[in-house]
Amino acid sequence: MSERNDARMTRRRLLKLAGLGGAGVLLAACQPEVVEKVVKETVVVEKEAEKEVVEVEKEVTRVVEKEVEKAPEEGPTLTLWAPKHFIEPANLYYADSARLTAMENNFQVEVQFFPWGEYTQKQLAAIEAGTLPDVLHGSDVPQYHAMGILRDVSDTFEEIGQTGGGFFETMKSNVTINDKQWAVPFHQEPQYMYYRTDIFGEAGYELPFDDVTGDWLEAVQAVTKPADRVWGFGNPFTDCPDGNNFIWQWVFAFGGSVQDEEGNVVINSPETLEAITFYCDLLTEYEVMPPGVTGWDDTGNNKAYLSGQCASVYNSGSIINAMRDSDPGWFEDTAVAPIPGPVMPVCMGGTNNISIPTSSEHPDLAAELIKGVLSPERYPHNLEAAGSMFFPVLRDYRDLDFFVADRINAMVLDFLEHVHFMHEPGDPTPWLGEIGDKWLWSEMTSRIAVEDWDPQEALDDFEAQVIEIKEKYEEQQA
Amino acid sequence: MTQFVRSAKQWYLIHEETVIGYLFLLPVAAILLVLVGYPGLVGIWYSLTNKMIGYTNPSFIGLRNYIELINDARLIQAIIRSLWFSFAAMVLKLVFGLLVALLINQRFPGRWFVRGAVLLPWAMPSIAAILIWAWMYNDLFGVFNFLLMEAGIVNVPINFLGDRRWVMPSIILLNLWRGFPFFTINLLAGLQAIPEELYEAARIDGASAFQNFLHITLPSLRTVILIICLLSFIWNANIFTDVWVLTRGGPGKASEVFSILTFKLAFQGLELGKAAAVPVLLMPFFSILIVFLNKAVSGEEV
Amino acid sequence: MGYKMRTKVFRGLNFLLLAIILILVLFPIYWMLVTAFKPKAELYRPDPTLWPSNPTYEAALHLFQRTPFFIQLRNSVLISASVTTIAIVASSLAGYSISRLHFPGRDFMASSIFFTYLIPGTMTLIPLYVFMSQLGLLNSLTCLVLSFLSFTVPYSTWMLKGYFTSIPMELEEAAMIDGCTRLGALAKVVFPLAAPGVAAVGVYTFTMSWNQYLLPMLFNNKEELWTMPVALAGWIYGDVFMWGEIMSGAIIMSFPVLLLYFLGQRFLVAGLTAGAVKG
Repeated sequence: MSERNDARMTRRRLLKLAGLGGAGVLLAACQPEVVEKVVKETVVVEKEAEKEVVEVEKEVTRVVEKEVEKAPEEGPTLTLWAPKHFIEPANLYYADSARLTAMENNFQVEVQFFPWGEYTQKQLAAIEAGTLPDVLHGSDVPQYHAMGILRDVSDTFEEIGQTGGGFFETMKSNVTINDKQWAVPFHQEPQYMYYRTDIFGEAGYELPFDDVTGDWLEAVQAVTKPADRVWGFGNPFTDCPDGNNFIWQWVFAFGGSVQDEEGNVVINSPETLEAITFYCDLLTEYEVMPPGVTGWDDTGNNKAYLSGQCASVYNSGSIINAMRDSDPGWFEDTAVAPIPGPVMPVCMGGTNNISIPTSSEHPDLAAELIKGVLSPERYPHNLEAAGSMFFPVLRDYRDLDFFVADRINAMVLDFLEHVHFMHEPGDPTPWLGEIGDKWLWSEMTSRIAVEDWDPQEALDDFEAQVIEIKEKYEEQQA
Repeated sequence: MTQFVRSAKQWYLIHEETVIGYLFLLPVAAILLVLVGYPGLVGIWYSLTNKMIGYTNPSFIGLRNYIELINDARLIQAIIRSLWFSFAAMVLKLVFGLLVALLINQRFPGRWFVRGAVLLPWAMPSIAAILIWAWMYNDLFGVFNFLLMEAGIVNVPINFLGDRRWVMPSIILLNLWRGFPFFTINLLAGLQAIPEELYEAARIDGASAFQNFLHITLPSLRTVILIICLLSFIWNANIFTDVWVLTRGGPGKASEVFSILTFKLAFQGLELGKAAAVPVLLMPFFSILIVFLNKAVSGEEV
Repeated sequence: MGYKMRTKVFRGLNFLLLAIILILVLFPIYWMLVTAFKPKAELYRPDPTLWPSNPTYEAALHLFQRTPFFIQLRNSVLISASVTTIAIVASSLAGYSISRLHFPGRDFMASSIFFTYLIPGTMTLIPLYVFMSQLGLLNSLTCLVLSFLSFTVPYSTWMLKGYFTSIPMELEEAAMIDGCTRLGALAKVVFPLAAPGVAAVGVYTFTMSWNQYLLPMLFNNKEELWTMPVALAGWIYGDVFMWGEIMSGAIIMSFPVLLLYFLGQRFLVAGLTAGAVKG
């Protein structure tokens, strides 16, 4: 349960630090000695089934600071909002790195984490009331840019880029509108395919696959054995992030895209039609997915893989993380890869970025804060504290031992240059975000697979809805 | 001066009920005007504009939102879904709630325990209760499917939340579990208020238990039943959290009740104006229910 | 079959039915308990264990270590208690006014109050948030108390109206003939008689406030100003559910309500529909 850390210890340290922070971080005045170090510990985990003893290295990254005399409060207080991550050390270290940055620059920061579920609503309500924080994690960049509530952070972006070998191109394009950057990427969290190499190996198939309509299809058909409750593949056919996002990547892998470079809607293409028809056929025609996928929630694919009921699924790093935490017995036999295409391999670029709302009264300090958490002293710790969930946005950090030395992390590094975003090949736009928010992708496929719509008809309706959304935004901006 | 005081006093005596009446209404009126009335009016104003969250300067567009909504098959379907869901859940809760009320109205050892136990589902924190049901409904790990398969009732797991045929019944079952205690306690109150003499008299006339139920119990409970049914209907017609947490309206649109649609319009499409128009559209219908309820609660004949 | 025998069989069937119903009703609660104490590895199994093979309270410990759990529990109690107190005082007065007094505009006022109950949260949420922000009340427990009143007051007024109607008018009139003023009669006769109804309304109001989970997170930024349901929802991280923590929290969260129900069970039965039950 306690993932990759000892919560008690870290909690105690956090309280210590919080105590300092609360009393006033003014340590700069008395020249505090701040030491950051990485604690490694080895924990012995007893595996239940075979009673064999497996050693799992758990890394605990925390800030250790010397006892410092309480200093008087000084400097302005900035607020920072971020969604709470399920890996507690990531939250704790992140908060620490923000506080340390603030300390060094003579201001204070309140780091406020929120549950994922209603974070968007929280932001929307704050936008309406003008109560956004000074630093905002996880903003919808094109949408908020169109609302005019984001500050241009091109300079900060440039400066940070120089410290780490530059941002990955995909990371840059994702925050760039009209050649300016409106947010700074903090981490990437690509999503990819998971494969049980043992099951596929037994059936005589080896990674990598070339084409989902060719060798991949053969393989997942070969390993599907409903009588043993094993299916070749599984992905939710419902309105949830995994059920929705998977489909546009699938479409990309078939050569389709939503908009062209000028921003025209080009989704209604033979490529898209082939992609979605084939995807739905996986469930209804080839029956390589469990029938339950039409009711899975976002955790459905995680559970199916962890319980051994699906030999391949599509997900972010959360399954890897769960397996590192408690190995279902096939962690060693797990491989990850992009969706192989008939046209090109695709995996989705997930990212979390930091922006500065125009309402902030301390934009310069906010910029310092962003530079601090992405600085060479702190950024590696921020990445490591998250286990394998956060991958670097800056090129140089690919070489960290933490990534290179780990079997799975190294696989992910291999395809970091090849992640895609839905806005490609055009600029990020607000209306694209709404396609995701409204679960239009999963709506289209569940219409075909569950409600027996004709694929072309479902695609036509999808296109009509996309155009309607686009026009709505054009009306607002006009 | 004294004359004035006297006439003021007289005025007060004549108008005492009006003065006290409004005075006593003041706190509630103030709370509701400020906390519901004002935001509600803003909402109604939004419904006449193209207001989008985050985009300033909404412009007045008259009834366009309403016209678009009325012509939207999705909204009509959502409303119909809300209505039949509310009706089905209401009937089931009434039948089950009445059955349990009749059972625990008897004298037997441990009655206090049973009465407490049937209230438990209602006392559970709603978010946790919904989540545990989602977990139990799960097709791969859910205990329901496990038990059904162990018992040999089904061979393939039932896809409770993902099959269009099962999703609404599954939501209704959860609603039944969470809502029947409310029916039971109110019906129990009703049962206990029926004078024993009525049954005595019937027994002398040689009436059977079923006849008693039909001719004494049900008529006596009539108003109680009317009130709890109306309340349940109104609550369920507005149901949001249960459906949102379980299915978000899916699979497809199979469980998209109207509050889910409203929410999606507002927070996924940012169309606050259009979203605000949905409840306004439905107000006439609910007003009729409220009038009925108002009369029932006051003990008037409906 | 003799009459006695038949009664016995009938009673036996009754008990059997009751037992089945109890099992059905209590099973989900049992499942919550079991889930709270299962180690994580045991949750994701296609053959769920009916009893945790290695019970652990690690999940519950996380609650205390990772979140300001007791502060949130205290907030919940504080807010729900305040809302309940204000709601029952205000709605007792209003309920009395619209059920027993006759004055012009009464029916309109009564209908308007109930009508507000129909205005859904989705519609008022953003305007309410902006309003609270203008008042400078965001990030406080006060704004939660106020916003919770918006959905508890109409309902409690409604229930109390029914209850007041059930108290015979003659008692009040008799007291007034004996020389009591209207207010005197109200204080000495009507309100004491209404006590069970007020208690019942209190329990309902408390439960409604106790369960509200969206507003505290929206209105307040600091964890220390949140309530229990937000804390529970906070254990859902996208596609990762911390079942043990959620269910442990839910169990702890249900205790105060259970206690209230246990104490107030007698009154609950007397609650809402008392006015409608005519002997």
